[in-house]
Amino acid sequence: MKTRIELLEQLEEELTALRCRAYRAYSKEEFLSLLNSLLDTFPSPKIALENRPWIQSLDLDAHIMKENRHLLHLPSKERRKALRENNWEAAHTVQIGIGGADYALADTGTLVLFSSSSGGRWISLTPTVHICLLPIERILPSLDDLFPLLAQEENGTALGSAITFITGPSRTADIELTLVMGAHGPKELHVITLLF
Amino acid sequence: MKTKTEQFKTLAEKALGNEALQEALARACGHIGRMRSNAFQNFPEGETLRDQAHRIKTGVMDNLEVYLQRLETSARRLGIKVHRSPDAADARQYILGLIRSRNISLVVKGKSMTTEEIGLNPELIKNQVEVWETDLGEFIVQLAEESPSHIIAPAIHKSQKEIAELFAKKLGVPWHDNAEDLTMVARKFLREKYFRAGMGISGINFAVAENGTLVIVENEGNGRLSTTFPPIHVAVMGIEKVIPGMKDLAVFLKILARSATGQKFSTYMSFLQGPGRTDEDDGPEELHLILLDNGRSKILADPELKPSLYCLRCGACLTACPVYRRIGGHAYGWVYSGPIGATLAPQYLGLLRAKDLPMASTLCGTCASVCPVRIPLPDLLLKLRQRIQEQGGMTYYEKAFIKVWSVAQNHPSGYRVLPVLARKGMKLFPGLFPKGIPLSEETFHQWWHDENPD
Amino acid sequence: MDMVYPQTARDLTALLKNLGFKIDYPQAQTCCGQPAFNQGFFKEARNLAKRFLTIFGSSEVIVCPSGSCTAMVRKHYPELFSQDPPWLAKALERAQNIFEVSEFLTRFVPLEKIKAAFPFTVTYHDACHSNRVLNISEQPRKLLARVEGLTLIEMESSQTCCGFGGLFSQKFPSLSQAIGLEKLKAIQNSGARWVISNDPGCLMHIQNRIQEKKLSVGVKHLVEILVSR
Repeated sequence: MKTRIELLEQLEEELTALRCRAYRAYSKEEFLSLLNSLLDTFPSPKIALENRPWIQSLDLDAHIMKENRHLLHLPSKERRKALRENNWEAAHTVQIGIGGADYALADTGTLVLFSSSSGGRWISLTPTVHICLLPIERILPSLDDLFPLLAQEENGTALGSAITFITGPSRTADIELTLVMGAHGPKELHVITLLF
Repeated sequence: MKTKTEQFKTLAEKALGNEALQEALARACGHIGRMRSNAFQNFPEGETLRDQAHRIKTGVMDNLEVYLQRLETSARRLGIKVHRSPDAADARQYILGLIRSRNISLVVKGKSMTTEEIGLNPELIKNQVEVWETDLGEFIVQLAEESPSHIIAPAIHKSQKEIAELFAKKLGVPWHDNAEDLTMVARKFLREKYFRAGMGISGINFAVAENGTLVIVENEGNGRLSTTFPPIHVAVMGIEKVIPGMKDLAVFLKILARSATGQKFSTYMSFLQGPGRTDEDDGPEELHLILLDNGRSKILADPELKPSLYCLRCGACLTACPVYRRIGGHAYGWVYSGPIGATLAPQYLGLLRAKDLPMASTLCGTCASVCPVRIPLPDLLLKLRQRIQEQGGMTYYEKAFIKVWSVAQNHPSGYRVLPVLARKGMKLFPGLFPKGIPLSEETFHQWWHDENPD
Repeated sequence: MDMVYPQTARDLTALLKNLGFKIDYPQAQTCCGQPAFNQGFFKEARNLAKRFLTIFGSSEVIVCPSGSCTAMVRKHYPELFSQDPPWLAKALERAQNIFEVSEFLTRFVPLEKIKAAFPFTVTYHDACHSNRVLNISEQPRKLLARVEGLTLIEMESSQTCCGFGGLFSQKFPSLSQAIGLEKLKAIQNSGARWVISNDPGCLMHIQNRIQEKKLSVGVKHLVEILVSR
């Protein structure tokens, strides 16, 4: 039986091998500082936040807004309609998506996202950079530990229209087997584990 | 794609003479094969999982209709529209019907061998629908107006230079001399298609009967994109892809990516459980599932060849096959190639139409040794050879040779005369005899007889 | 073996005699039927299988210097008679005591009794039926380790098919040749002076490729090595 930290270490090893960047934040202050430094590496980024309650409660709006950063605000109601009518321009133009993970699988470096929690799928899909926030207690040893939990959470609406398993940034080797990141999905995947 | 299985010998010969193809295949199959082998070496549970996977598939095929009905019920409960298509024409019609009724002019496609199998793209294009393959390899092959040559690496036969030229010519972009830039060209070009498309079409890797979950596995993200933004998502699935429950799904997911590319998991696995919800930003408004038969129930009814349906379309047998490695996918003349293609083609297209494919194997068994669901491919090929032979698929010369040879083997005197005749015959009529067999002057029989007279 | 490499059969006779075994060679024997079977002529194969089982009916143990023939009897004979209980019983019984030569030796002969000398570099080709149907891979190597002066150099992917495939080589000669040439590359890269295997079909095919490319690599059956002094 691995401890939380051991699971986290295993996860970080897998993430690194997958060309993700893995970070730890032991406090909210550390987290905000980390996030700000990461965002600083992008000139004038357009950012979107997942609609997850616990991410909203972090009040990132206030803490990460700087002059050169543009945070996308979508209406709280009828977002879907608005996005579709606007030809998904938001999904088109956002460079950095910040969201959470419902679970992570340590033995494969996989993030598990329920579309109901994320409020949709696009934030982990269309931006060039995906920053995923992962509460440490959500790290499971493997797929076998996740499936019983899926059965429990399932009541038709809890999980959403899609459960997405993300193992590394988007990649392809279709051209002469040369590995290229960011084929269609995000080119960079940053995982910040929250230990507070 | 136009089926060319009858031209196998010619196409194979042509492929053997294509040096660039030979190089590409050697490199690709070598690399992918090593990845697969490394993945299983570091994975002790792998062998048990493969056994389990085989058992699950056997159980599914023994009760396919039950599972399909359960799937239909579960899927409908999730708001998925389910349609059974007996054949390719029906599936195409269903999709066209949707396209016409919703006035759709642009369709994006995730990677799907099944949609190739039913000849979907040509039909859509014929009906003035703009179709774009979004998997990079498929996109390249589409621009080149060719068919894919490998299940998981469709453009394996094309060099980077050829691709650069293709993009410059067909997309009007400058020449790019590296894979990264070329990939970004494709990424940029296809981006807006996902958002403008009226329909996204995909395949399905697994469908879980117990709760209606549809699973799509990929590395690029184009599958997710094609099935998230267009208002309609149509998933085309061979009926054999249904599995009983989530715990069965776990078994397959653990061995699929390892078998295909050596990864623990593919980058994205999407468990789709219905169209987009009202509280979600995205997801299709409608999700249609087409359960495609197209000859599968015929195979299902054949107890000897039923295991052909266990295939996960991972491509491991192609990569491992010494024959595929030398001729590539196009020589097989059909959408499925390699050992599994050689097994399926005669069953789907007709024994005599595809008779050369099962014969073009040394029965080395490497395919079976890497198949994640342990399909006994060499045994299936042997059974197909038997049926082809019985249906008159062997040449007159082959039949005569085996018959004469068999008679000689059944009669010791004939058996002993044969090599003498053969030696003489080979000198006089070299064309009639198998080549490269150095017959000895004295046989062992003769030697033993001389040594042990009684 | 009888017609192409009788020397190997003679060597096997000598080897087994020297190890103290009483050898019988049913002279009526012809062929196990594999060529017919592989081409889909199951009826003809069945007839030859019946003949084989009858001729060898009273033999306690069969030793065979060919992995593919052994595989034919052990694996495919029961399949051929799956609908014929009396013959199936015979086939199953025979499957229990037919052995490829390296299986036989490593199983029934204490390794110390194997004495041979062959002071050269060799590489071993794992013939497909032996390797993947009969799971033979350790046995030949154990035996080769007993040969004085012999250096075994493993070639890259020794388990890859040589391209012979029986009548495949006649039906698809260019393919067969091309696959064989890749095996030849591996043999060359190993730097070994001799290539060894336990299947006469493979040996013949590899020998033909060597002659084509005029390489100075020799070809020998495992048994020939084991009787070398």
